[in-house]
Amino acid sequence: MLKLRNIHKSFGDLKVLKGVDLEIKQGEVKAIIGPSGTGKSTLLRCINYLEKPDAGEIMIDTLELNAKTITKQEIYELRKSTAMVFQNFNLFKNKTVLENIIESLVLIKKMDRSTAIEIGIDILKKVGIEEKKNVYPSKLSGGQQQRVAIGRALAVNPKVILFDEPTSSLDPELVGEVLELIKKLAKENMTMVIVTHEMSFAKDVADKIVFMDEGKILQEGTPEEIFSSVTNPRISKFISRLSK
Amino acid sequence: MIDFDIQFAIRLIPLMMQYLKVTVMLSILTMVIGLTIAFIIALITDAKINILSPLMRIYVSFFRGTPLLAQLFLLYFGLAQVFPVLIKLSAFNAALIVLSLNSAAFMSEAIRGAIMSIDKGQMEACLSIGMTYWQAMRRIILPQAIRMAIPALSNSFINIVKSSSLAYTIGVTEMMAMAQLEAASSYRYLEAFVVIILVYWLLISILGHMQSKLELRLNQY
Repeated sequence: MLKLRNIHKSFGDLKVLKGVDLEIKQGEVKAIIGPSGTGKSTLLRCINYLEKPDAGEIMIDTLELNAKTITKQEIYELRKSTAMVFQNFNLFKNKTVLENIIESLVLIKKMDRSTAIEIGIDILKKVGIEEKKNVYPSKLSGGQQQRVAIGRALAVNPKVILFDEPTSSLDPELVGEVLELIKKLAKENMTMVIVTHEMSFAKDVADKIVFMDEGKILQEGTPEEIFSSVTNPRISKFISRLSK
Repeated sequence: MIDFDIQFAIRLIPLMMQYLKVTVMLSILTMVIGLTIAFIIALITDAKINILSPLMRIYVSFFRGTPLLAQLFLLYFGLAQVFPVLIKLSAFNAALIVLSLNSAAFMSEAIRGAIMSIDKGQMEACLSIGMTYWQAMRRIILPQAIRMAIPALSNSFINIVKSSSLAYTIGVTEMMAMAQLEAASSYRYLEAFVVIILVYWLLISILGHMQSKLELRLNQY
């Protein structure tokens, strides 16, 4: 469903992605793990073009985009079929919880407001925060904010949701509620790509785990393959360091 | 010794109020036009639009870097020698043009600073759900930036009110001109200028009060 082919990205002289190929099937949950600074987040941001890849192709269903020839219109199309959940939530500070959810429905999908609100309320029920619908984000806990952010991503009705370290800036006691919600979405066969440092969560929720190192994919496999029968010394070093 | 003619001062007040209208009108029109230009400049600069963006930098540099009075004289007395059309320009309109262009330079910097102070995650979130740059600006970034810019913009407005007194130098009969006139004809300089200073002070205190009200209203999130 989503295919990346030979994605390259540099920041100045620093080569961050050195030719990444990745394929995500419909309904699949893929976790991307690996040491810091290996381009995991950059890869994710390239998928919805918050970073512009220098070269490579992105295919999502029938949409085929080449970094060399991509147009503005194609970027908007791509963003309509993907949605991003950020480490720092990035909820619209000047909008209430409900307004955050319906913004894309009203503005991008041109729905009338009452239909959008109906859908918005349904989404808020799903992420379990309906009672806060008229509250501004600054009044919410981190975990609540991230659940609203996931709701905002769902409102786009994307083919895939991209999670960029969704629990990294949460207090430890708030991590659980966000992970539970992501698990729930996984059960509903939502297609997701998750960059995470939560190894046990990755093991739990992901169909496939991708290990990235130095701008490339080192290994891809089921959680068992990655965590138990480790063949690559770099991966075993990374995993043993984390489990200490 | 101190000979302050209170009667004379009190008689001046209704006269002041009459010309206060000119001051207030000039200030409000300047604010409206200046703020509009300021937004355009700030957005062009922030979006880094080719050619226009460096031109705006020069504009801001010129109006911030030269005295308002000199700008006023340049337009009204200087440029009128080169462009005969300008001779028909009334003193009021000349003052309005220069004050607007001048205050726009300052206010554009305040707005630009406020836009830059908004976390760049806000723009990214907008783009990630499919908004265009301008949609994001209009719906999310500017509403937050305006709130940040209110204190600086209020300062600018206060400056406009006070600077409008310079318009008397090219012959606009506003409050300052009237005080000057009354003072000269009666030799009661002290009374005339004490009264005008109090009126300005009062006017600007009212503006300050309105500013706090506005900030309170915008502080809902």
